[in-house]
Amino acid sequence: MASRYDRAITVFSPDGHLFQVEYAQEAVKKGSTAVGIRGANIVVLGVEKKSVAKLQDERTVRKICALDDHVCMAFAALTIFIGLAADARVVINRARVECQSHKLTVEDPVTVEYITRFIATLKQKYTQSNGRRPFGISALIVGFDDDGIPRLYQTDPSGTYHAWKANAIGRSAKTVREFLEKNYTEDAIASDNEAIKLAIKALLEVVQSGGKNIELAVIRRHQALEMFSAKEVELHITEIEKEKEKAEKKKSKKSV
Amino acid sequence: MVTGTPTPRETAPNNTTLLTLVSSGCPGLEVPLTVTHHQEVMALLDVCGAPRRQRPEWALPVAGSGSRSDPGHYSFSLRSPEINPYLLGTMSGCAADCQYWERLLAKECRLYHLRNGERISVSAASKLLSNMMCQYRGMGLSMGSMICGWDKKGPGLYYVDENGTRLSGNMFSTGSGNSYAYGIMDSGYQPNLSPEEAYDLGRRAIVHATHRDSYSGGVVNMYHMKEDGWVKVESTDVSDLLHQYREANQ
Repeated sequence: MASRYDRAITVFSPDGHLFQVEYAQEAVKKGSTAVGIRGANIVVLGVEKKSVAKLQDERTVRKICALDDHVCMAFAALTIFIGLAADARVVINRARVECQSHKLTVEDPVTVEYITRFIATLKQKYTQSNGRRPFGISALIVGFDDDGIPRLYQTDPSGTYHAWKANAIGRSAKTVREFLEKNYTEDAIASDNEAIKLAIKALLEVVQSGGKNIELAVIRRHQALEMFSAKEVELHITEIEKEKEKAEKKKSKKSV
Repeated sequence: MVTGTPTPRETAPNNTTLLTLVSSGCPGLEVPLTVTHHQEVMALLDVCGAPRRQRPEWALPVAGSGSRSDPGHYSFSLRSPEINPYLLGTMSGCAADCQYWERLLAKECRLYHLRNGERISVSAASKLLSNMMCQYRGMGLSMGSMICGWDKKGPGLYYVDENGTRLSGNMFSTGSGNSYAYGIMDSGYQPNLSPEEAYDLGRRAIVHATHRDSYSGGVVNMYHMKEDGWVKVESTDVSDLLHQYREANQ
């Protein structure tokens, strides 16, 4: 039955599905896992880095992109796109142009919500025109607005967007989200370091441990975007592992 | 508090002079705006006592210059500068241009508010108007405007004209009698004027400008821009004021 209604994107199925959009969402589920966390004073984005072929130049594989940064370095929008990398490139470019356009016409940098709405509207347009397929990407968009409030938004191929405290997209997103639901507490995000560790821990649920496999970026309030090198990620991972050991020792002591 | 449509305009008999004067100098973060506005003469004096972010206290007398004294332009007097309850946009120059573009600006400001859930900033509103002017640059528009308002960053005043010029400042004057108004404003201005003093300065500037400029005359409409919106302070006849000043001198 489905096959009759998934040819043209603009056609609904009898039970109200837009199959092309749903297939696009499936494409997203095949992408690498990404997690976003909104801390009290920091926003963190972490992505699973799939292993790079021997001959491939590692530096060219970047999933986290800056959309804009504020004149005073007080605000930046980071985004991760999971899904079809080529689609992501197109959307990122449009978003970057829109950030500058907005600055030009309105003399103010975009708010995170505005640019998310723009990206979502763009995606929705592609679900309602013939001859085009939807973008096969979900995005996590983070940043600080002028008023200093941290924000995290998620968009999906259908063009909807929501604000989140913490979220995951891509492969095994469900597992990661469950982990976050259990472990996202006010304490966990109170300090910058804790928020970063929470992001890494969440990713470690589904990703092999190691600095090579995790790409991390943060924005702190009133500062520019900071991409972590593999070494810095390793440092945090070792810290996490030490804490785990301590916790286990305590447990074993108690049980004894 | 924000309404969708601008408040009903005041009607005035033909050849009424409206003076726009914006001034504020009080520590209570107020920006009195006196609007004296006539066909060609419009003075907008804006004296802000409120520190705008890190800037020291600033005063802005703004006087409007009219349609560059072109007698061909329609002499009109229905000029209410209200865009919305927290934005004022005075206009001098071609009547049709002023009315049309300001109304268009009001529409855009409202749409911005609806789409973004917050009021448009004075900077953005003036930029929108300036962009509209740039689009039609060279096609004979005539408009000199001052956009005044209060937003997240405090009080704001911008001068926009038909060339697309957009200037931020403390004091402007537009209209054919602007030079006369500038003289009074510049000599009378001090930082930290009280609202009363600012009103008086504005009144004087407009009265003297209308006295000397043949294209002006009529009524002084004074608006005071406060943090929660503008209030109309008064609407006084210029000739009455002139007599007052004369008698005071004697």
